[in-house]
Amino acid sequence: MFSAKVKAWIRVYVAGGTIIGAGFWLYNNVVPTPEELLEEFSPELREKYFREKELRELEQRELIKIVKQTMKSNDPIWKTGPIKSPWERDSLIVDKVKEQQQDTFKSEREQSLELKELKRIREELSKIRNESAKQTEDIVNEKRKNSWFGKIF
Amino acid sequence: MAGAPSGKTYMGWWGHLGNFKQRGITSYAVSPYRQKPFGGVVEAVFTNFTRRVRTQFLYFAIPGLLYYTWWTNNVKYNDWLYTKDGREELARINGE
Amino acid sequence: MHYTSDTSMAFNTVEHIMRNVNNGWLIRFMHANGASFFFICLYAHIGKGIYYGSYQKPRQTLWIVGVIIFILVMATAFTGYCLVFGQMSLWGVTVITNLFSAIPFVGEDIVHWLWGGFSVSNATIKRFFAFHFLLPFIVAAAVIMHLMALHSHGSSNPLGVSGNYDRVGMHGYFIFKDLITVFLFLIVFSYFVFFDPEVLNHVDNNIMANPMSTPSSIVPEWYLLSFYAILRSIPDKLMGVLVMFGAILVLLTLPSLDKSVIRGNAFKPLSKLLFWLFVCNFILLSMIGNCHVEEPFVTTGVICTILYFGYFLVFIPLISRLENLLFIGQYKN
Repeated sequence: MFSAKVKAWIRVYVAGGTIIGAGFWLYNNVVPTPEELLEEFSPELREKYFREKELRELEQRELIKIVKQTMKSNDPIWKTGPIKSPWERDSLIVDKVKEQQQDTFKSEREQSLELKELKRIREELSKIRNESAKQTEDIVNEKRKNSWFGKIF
Repeated sequence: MAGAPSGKTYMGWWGHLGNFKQRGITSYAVSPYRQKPFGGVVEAVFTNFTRRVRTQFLYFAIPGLLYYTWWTNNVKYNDWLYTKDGREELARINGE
Repeated sequence: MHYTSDTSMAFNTVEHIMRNVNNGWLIRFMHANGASFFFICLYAHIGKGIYYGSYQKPRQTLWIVGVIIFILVMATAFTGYCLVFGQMSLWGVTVITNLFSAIPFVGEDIVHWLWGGFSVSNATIKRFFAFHFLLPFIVAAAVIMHLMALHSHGSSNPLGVSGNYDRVGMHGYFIFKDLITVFLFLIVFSYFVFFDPEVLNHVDNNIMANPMSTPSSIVPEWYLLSFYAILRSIPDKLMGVLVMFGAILVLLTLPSLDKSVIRGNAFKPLSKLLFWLFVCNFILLSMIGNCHVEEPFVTTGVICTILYFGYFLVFIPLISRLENLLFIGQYKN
């Protein structure tokens, strides 16, 4: 009925259609719902999610404002208003004062207990690291003093 | 078994149902090239590979050098523009 | 799967994947670095196609399907940025919206369709997620078309002569040759995944998205930088978009504008030199895309863009005609 060439192309479309169909099926069946994921989360992460949920929504609202603004403007599409393009090295130069004024949710974010905890842990770790580095150095110096190699060099 | 000695045949004299006489033994082999995919690779690095790269070298070295010079000049000029020395030139370029 | 496109949760799920899911870190790093390596292979493959004239008659269908796959893969990569909901994602969402709003007359309607409502919301990110999920399957289907288009005429070869006689088997020779590449690939890939997983990534995407704070350190996604530079060298909104897409679609002109009677550049010194100039030009474009919007990078970007299009629209037709003249002593159209 069909030539070999047409048959081959029919096979291509059947196979391609099957793959795309499989993709749809997977999308509908494999992707978890937020509720399922929330149950999977570790308790800390779940707590963090609930604590920061409102902040996320506030930020989301801010993003909407920016997107609507930049969409209407006639600037080239990569100019995204207050959102700095991550491809601009410009953003390396940061006006800290201005940034803090712009940072509307600064207080909310700083309340994040986790950050405080992280800071405390970091400080503790760096203290331990310094101590152990000092100890190592002492031992090395001691050894160097006692060995013939250290005495010569 | 009748008949004079000859090469091996299958089926006998009865009705002389015969096959062709055996002529040899057929054997099939995998090509030695297939069996040794890495054959001569080490020598090839020193001979074929080097020769091939050498004969093509200038085709990409010249454009590469050209563009590299262009790029480094760009960076140098940009660095200079944003020094105290180049600020007038910068203002002129930006049309201020 | 352990990801959801819920905006208030997306970033948390990424943390969940990295910390709590078994080998989630491995899968995520393979996924992230895989994108970069996909593009390395893709660019090498396209470069090979241009160098050896793979697009020439009778394989135009193959080339067209290939360009479609290229566009689909780019779309997949870009929607992928938006899903982590790190700093990069906000930018991605904004740029995609701007991109569609640049279309005259129907732009706004398309934007609303893309948003799934009148504002960026959960629905929007869900759409990006659906695209990012489904596009790879469409790419896979397109790859099957690519293979069939290839097999209807067979592969060409570096010499540019007919390969209809004296063929070697796929299994044995080609499988083994390709396996070497596969293992080399896996070695380099493993290095990046296990020892340097973040080097090709955005550091900023590890920062929770916050539209009000400026990212402090930047590692750009390298593989789209050249097209970004082309986009940036056009100061107009609509024209910028058109030229950027033109930069991809201009690949489609190759089969008709390359007038050469001999396939491939193996025996054509001028074309060869021109090809490598084009490659260097492309690399320089990427580097310009990585620079500040400052002189002299702006000017250089514009010149590079002109040269990029010039290669396809001016130099290839000219040089191929000239080389025909040198080879067979006559112009041939």
